[in-house]
Amino acid sequence: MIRFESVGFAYPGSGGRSALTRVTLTVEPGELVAVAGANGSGKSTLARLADGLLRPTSGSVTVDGVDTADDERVWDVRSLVGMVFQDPDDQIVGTIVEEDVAFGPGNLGVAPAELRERVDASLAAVGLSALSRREPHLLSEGQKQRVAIAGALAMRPAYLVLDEPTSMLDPGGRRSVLDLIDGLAHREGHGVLHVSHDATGIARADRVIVLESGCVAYDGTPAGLLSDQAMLARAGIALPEIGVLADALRALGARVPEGTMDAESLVGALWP
Amino acid sequence: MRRGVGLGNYIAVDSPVHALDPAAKLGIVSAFTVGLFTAGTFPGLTLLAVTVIVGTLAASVPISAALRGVRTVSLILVLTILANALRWEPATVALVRVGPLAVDGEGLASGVFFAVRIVLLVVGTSLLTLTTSPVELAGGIERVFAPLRWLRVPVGDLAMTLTIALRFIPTTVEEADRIMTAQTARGARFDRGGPIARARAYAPVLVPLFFNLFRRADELATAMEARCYRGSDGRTQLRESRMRPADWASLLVAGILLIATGVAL
Ligand SMILES: Nc1ncnc2c1ncn2[C@@H]1O[C@H](COP(=O)(O)OP(=O)(O)OP(=O)(O)O)[C@@H](O)[C@H]1O
Ligand SMILES: [Mg+2]
Repeated sequence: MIRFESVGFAYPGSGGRSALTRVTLTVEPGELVAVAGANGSGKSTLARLADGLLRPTSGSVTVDGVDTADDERVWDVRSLVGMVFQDPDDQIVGTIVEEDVAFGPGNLGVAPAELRERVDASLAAVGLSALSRREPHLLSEGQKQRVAIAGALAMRPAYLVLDEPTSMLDPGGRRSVLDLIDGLAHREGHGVLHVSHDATGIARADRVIVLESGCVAYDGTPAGLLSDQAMLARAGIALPEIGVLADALRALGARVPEGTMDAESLVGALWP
Repeated sequence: MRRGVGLGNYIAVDSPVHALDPAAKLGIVSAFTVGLFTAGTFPGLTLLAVTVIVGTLAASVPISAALRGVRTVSLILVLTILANALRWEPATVALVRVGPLAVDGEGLASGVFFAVRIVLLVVGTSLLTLTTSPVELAGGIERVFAPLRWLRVPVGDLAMTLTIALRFIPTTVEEADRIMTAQTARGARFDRGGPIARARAYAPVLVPLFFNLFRRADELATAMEARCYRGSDGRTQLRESRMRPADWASLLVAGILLIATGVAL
């Protein structure tokens, strides 16, 4: 379990202005937790704290009981938590896709035979097996993002922290990456912390946390958040058109469940 | 589809030369280069030329690709031949005379000798980059220089730095391109004025470019840390290259060739 206990964090040189204040949350294995919030609300800071890339100024962050502030064990934390950053160009190290995916497990000293097996399995999991010998910079943004996810998966982490992995994708690419994330949590049993700005990403989480100026402003179900217009506005989340339509139909008395986001469930609700 | 910038001139095909260990290839190219500069006669040069031709055929790369480098040095070739062949009178054995200029037979021979040497050098070394991907090359360099570890030179980290530099060349080119397009859209001209004016036009490109590169370097360092990079000790790689009998044999042949050209010819 990733556990934040009353975590506070201030960047050095920010004059004591804290980026996070008294944040408490947990991510269990098999659970998909979304983190939302306006720009500068502290989402990326939270993601970096979960991996021990930043250490809390107050409170504590533990991963399966290991404190990220423990110098001796910070590498244990990093091998337990796989990280995917927002811009794939900033995290791809290899000049060939499969060499990049092998970078993380290679750092863990995984033997070449197992390394090969992990690379093939991770690339298959993100649907990129056919592109394993390509140069990453010749791929599309969505494919690069998948390479980054495969690179994290190849480390066989118990937890995954994804910082806006779909922000550079078109709706089709976003949908397939969201399917992938969903499967990683609910089928493969990873604990996933998914920083996401958009309603379709949030709708598929088990739980949503909204940050506002570094404080937890909402912690509950996606349906609860998506039907709370005031909170949505504060978090800067725009409902997709289907969501707006669903709200309008509900206001007219149609039996549409709160938090309906996509056309299929809307049709299903209207004509069961 | 957007076409990115390719890395180097590597041609990905399967051939015996591609399959050679990059470290062995580096050794062979070094032996070849030393042989080229110690060879003092045309027979020696011919032996090396035959080696290059056999290597090019075995590598199954297009001849045009192997010769591409020669075009860039063609001016140097012409100058080399002219500088050696042309004499003011009196020339010892003048072949042709044009006014006060004379073409010297011996000079012409040595000019051609130097030119052939340059061609062989260019084609021979480009065979290395044509048949070895940048990552393999960096790995080969790491293994060739591995003994320097005893002198506390961080060979592995240097090889990693080299790999990352290679990885970021296309990204940097694309970024420069994007910034230039943006500046052009705001009315910047990169094709006007003298050399100083042109160089100055690039300042608004270089400043954001470097700013972005530093930001990227910082982000990349964080990402590498998140992926558990702790220096090259104990790191494993997908392709563990090891010298096989074929590699040792090719290296041996290259060594014998070097001695043959250096001592005998
Ligand atoms: N390296 C840094 N040094 C100082 N302050 C920083 C640094 N990185 C972020 N901050 C500040 O910390 C606060 C939270 O930033 P953070 O990057 O976590 O926000 P975010 O929610 O991820 O925003 P976005 O939606 O833009 O990604 C912001 O006020 C930001 O200005
Ligand atoms: Mg962010």
